Amino acid sequence: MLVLTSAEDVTANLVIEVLNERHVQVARVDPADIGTDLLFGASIGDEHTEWDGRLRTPSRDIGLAEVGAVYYRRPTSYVSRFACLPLVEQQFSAAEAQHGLGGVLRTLHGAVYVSHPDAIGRADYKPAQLQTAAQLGLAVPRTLVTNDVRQARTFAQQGPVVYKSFRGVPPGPDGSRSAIWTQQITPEELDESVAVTAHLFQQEIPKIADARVTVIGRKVFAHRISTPDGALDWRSGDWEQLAHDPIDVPEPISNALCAYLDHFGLVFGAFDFALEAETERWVFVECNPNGQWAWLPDADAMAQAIADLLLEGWWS
Amino acid sequence: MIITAEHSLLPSIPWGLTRATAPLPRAEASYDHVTLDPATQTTAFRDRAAGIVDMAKSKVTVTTSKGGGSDGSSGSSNVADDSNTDS
Repeated sequence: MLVLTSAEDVTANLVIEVLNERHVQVARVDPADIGTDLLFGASIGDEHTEWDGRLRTPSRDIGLAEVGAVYYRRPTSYVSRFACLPLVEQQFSAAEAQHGLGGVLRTLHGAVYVSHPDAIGRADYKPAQLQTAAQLGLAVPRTLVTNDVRQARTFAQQGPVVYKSFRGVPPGPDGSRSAIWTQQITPEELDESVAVTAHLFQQEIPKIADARVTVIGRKVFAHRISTPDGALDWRSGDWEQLAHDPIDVPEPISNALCAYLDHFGLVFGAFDFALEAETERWVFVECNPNGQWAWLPDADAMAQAIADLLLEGWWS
Repeated sequence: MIITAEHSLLPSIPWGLTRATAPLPRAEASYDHVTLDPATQTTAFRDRAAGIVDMAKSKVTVTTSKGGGSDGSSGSSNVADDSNTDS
């Protein structure tokens, strides 16, 4: 069993503990450790039609052909691994590691992936998320993606609109971090600098609460999340002040979420919904295909569910 | 490709970035370093004296502040580990 993640990933620890309880041989590997602390060799050809070889960390020596399952969590980026190198060397090393080691690790024959990084990558795009959700019958907010300020202004004139970034703000050179919380905007606030890059504008949903639905395989874990101050974006406040209450997911919605995962080839999804005021209609906001869940009240049960998925049809 | 004057007059700061908060206050790191248990393959968060730090209340912030957040691919960085609009 391979767990691909960074050392700092608290979430993976919960799953590894469960796997240890089930006597599974676990190897935790951060591919960005590539170097003398992570050596690998993989070969194919002659009578071998599948990659085989070994991956060695200071504490594990792993036969690639023996890996039955991969828990793909949050590996460190190769770019940050090589950040100390000059630009050309950094980009070369990162791209070669990505395609060489990363390429082998995403091609382990017969291994179960939770979830496969290619599926996670496809499902990471908000336009793909919204279209898939809409096609599966889920309510989605009216949304405009554009770099045309005229279209953005026209859209914003049609009612309360929020702006969301796709990927957030990169850290500054000194490591400082800023955030772009979901926020209301007015047409007057927009200017020609919208043209510089793509922007996402969305109808603001008048909501009474949010819902986080985590689907693991076919198991559904759902909570209603309320903020003490009714914040538009619950991430912007103190997470310890959030109220989590169990909530039943209407069957048509849970069925759509399973179909959503199938569409992308995922086996895990952290779905966010806005619960519309008055109607309590569930409005799809987004799905994080590799979202965190360790902070949720059901974390222990979720860790068990992920271990179940990893071991489905396979035992080591 | 012809670079037009109009193109070169585009503002350099994208509108979306003007909506960012001021740099967030740096949370004091609750740990000094991380160690891997070779037997269990779990990691432990330790203070400077190598004592164990309980991360029970930091199950999200640790990964947004110190690591992870990307799938290792060159085109998928800059992501808070768990997020609503930032991912």
